[in-house]
Amino acid sequence: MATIKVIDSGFSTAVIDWGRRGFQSSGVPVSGPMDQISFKLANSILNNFEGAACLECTLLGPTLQFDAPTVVCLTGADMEISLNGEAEQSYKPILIQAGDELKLGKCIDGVRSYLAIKHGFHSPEVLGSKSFFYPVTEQSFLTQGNTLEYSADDRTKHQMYVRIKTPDHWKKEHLWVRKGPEWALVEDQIDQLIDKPLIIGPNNRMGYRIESQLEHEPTGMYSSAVIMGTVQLTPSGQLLVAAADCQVTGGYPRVLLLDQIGMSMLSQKRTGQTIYFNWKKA
Amino acid sequence: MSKLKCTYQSFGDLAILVDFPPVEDQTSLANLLKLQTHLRNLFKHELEDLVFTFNSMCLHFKKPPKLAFIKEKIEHVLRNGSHKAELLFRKHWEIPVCFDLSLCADLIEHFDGDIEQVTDYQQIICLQDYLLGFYGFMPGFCYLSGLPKDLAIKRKASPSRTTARGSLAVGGRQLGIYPQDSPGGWCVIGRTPIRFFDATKDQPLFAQIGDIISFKPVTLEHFNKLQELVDLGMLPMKNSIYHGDN
Repeated sequence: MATIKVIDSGFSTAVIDWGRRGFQSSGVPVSGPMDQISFKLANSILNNFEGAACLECTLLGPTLQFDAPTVVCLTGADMEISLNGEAEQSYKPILIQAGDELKLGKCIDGVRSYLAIKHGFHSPEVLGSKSFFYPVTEQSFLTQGNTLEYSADDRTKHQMYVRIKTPDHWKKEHLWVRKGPEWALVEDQIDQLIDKPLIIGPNNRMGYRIESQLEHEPTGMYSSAVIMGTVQLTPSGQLLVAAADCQVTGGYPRVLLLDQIGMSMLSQKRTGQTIYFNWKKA
Repeated sequence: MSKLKCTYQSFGDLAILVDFPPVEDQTSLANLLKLQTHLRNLFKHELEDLVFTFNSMCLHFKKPPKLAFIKEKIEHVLRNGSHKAELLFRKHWEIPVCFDLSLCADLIEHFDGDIEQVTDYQQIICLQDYLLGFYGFMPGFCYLSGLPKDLAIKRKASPSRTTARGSLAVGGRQLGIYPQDSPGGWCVIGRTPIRFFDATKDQPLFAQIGDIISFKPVTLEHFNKLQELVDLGMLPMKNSIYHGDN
């Protein structure tokens, strides 16, 4: 098995695959990619299995040293990338030789980029997934000195790769939303929420907080299912958008729902940026 | 059991949410567990997961489901009552819990420092059996039903920053055990050394949905000893087969 040495781990870099599906009834979050569109594209370009494990690199990417030939591809946020000091391009296969050093730098625009490798990264599987999620897996993020295994492939030069037009879904600010199960609770105040600028607050892989002026009385409802994209409203008016590592059940009213595209867009936004919720036409 | 009155709605592209009136007594909850087993079997090729709570079921599908079709299938099951199979191999777990006053600041606050009320409350908690209704929130967080109405305690106005691993807590009429340190809005009444979730095992959960849980008070000294055993990977507690089915 070929090995990658993590020379520098970047800001927060994690192995992520399509997720831990089928364990939500044990309280285990799905932990798939935040930006599902960019994740799938990275694997598609290399002709990988759609859900093969990638590195999800946030804000500042890692520096990696490879000990055998392969091919990699970077998608998602606009992140600096160089191979042995020479600048490379996103959304294109990058051929790697033994001893090469790949350096991902700062995010120029967006938040999360996805580094796919031919045949996927081979980190250990726990409950059917390689995705990092502490305490299901031992770590949340890569650290300096970690190693990552992969299957070397020296035929990469002769293979066909998919060419795509660089997408810009993640630069958009207008997110489609649908009504959530407890929608009726805020129906009267809706003009404060739809088509209005909303400022993104603190966020991580569990969720995004967005401040609003909406008010409602605490309901004391029973806990019920939460999925990625669920927008819950706390009594203080804070909107909690459930993301890839979200809780599987929750007790706050679920007033809106973002779809996969909306979540991919939101995942590329930073604290302080503005977004808009727009109705998704049925 | 009268027929469960369900409402159905799509929840995102891949899930269907089924709501019903809150199920509070043990018999109805047991029937709900059987329904869940039945549906998992009925949709075994289509379902990715089925998350249910005391008043809802969320069916997660692998491909976008047709709401009307799924609704009709479930209604058919409910009409025929064919889900009323027996729950087999249920266990009764006696969980050691330390009720030392150093571990239940929330409950002391709830009773405005009246220690007598605190210890009374804890004693009554230990007299009941609880049904493990479902897992949710975080890996291995169990929701227990069977808390008498007058023992219900409302959630905190704003959640505490950290609730310790092993905390036994009350949230409304639900009892739960925090499997890891986490922010939490429930009132902590004691702490267990037992680990409810271990991802290194093939079966990360030892207690299954439908199992019966009761609590055995232990001293702080005993709690610390048990904690050492747990850290060595042991499960220092009693279990037995549960016979008294609803």
